Amino acid sequence: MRQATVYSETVIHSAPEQFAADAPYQIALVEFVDQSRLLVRISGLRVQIGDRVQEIENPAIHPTFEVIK
Amino acid sequence: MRSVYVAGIGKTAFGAFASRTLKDLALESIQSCLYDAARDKEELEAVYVGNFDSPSFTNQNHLAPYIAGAAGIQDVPATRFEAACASGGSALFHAFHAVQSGIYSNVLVCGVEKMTSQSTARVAQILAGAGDAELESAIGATFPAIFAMIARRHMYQYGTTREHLAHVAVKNHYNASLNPQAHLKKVITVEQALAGKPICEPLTIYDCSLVSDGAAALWISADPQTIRIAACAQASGPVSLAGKPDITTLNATRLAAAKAYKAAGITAQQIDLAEVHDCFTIAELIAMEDLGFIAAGESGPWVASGATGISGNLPVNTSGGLKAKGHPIGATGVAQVCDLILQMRNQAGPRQVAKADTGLAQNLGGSGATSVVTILQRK
Repeated sequence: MRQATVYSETVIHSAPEQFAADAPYQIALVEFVDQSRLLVRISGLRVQIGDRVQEIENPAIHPTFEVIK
Repeated sequence: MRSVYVAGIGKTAFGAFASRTLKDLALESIQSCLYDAARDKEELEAVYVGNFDSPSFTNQNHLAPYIAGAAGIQDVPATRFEAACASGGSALFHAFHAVQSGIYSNVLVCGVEKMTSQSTARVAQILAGAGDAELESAIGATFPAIFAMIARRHMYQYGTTREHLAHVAVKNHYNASLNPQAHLKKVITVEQALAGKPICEPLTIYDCSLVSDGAAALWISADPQTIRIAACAQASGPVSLAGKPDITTLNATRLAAAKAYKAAGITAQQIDLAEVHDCFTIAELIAMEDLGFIAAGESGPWVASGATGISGNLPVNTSGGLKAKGHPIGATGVAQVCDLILQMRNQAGPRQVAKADTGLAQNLGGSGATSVVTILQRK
């Protein structure tokens, strides 16, 4: 699965109506090795700028990444 | 190219007005503008309406002829402009060019939004429509989330702090307390701002602008007046955050500012006061840098020093800004110009600044997909 580095992130407490049940949840702008970026959901542990993350398979929200332990 | 002037201004109070309709708000701003201009509406040759999403907020579409007709401005072309939170600025930009190029000599610009009849979660959903539906809204990103990520990165790259952001909120709340037309008139402290309810980390409720109802109008004219629009420039940038090479700067604002300064024949250092798009506190800090008032990365300590207060070197958002005056989206870009003109006419009451000969307004759409910069000069 794709790996990337967290370029920025936020934890959303005030969610839009469609995702109200998920709150609080984290999203991140991640950067790939070719320097392209993608906005993703973060699953599991909270991440910070500079953390390495990888994509998880068959997520409920696509795309979702998690921290590489 | 002809010189372009503002012949009249009109603005409603901003706030949450359960009993007032979109049409009612627009009409009040137009009638107030016609009264201020002391001219006959029969002279108007076109109507430019700035509005973000009346179809979603109020189920009313085809807004421009709806409003113009209600105001008794019959038969002339009436068109709505949508550029997210820069809808009002974009309507002004197009009106300015029509008069400057000689197509029309007298036009009306009206910005309006009626937002408070919807729940907060529904408003967040509607506003998210100004981002990239496929890449951003679909994973649950909101506008506060987009600007929260911009803030995090600005903090990471430049050492900007939550206290710096709080100083923007404290200043704008104080300024709004002096503005009888502001939505909130509640003075706050840095400690209160920092302890606010988290919205999208690191932003709290005090870092976010308000959901408001309101309208504003301008009579734009080729006939010489005291206030001249020296320049009005619009530029575009990527809609999605992922498309920006550096998210700590909004290139559309840099481009629009460069065009506007060139057209006006001035530099950033010649601006006496500004109304900028503080949809979030971080947006005001970044605007200081993108408009050339201060170097990249240095806005936090500069604003915290008081430089942009009413008695500072460069007063910014003396109206209270989107943060506390309120942010009825389509009205905002038009209202910013009305507020500058109140200062330039020495009609700003207790928030009056010492020198207001040259003013700048900056109106942002989305996370920088549209930016409009307007420069006003007094004769």
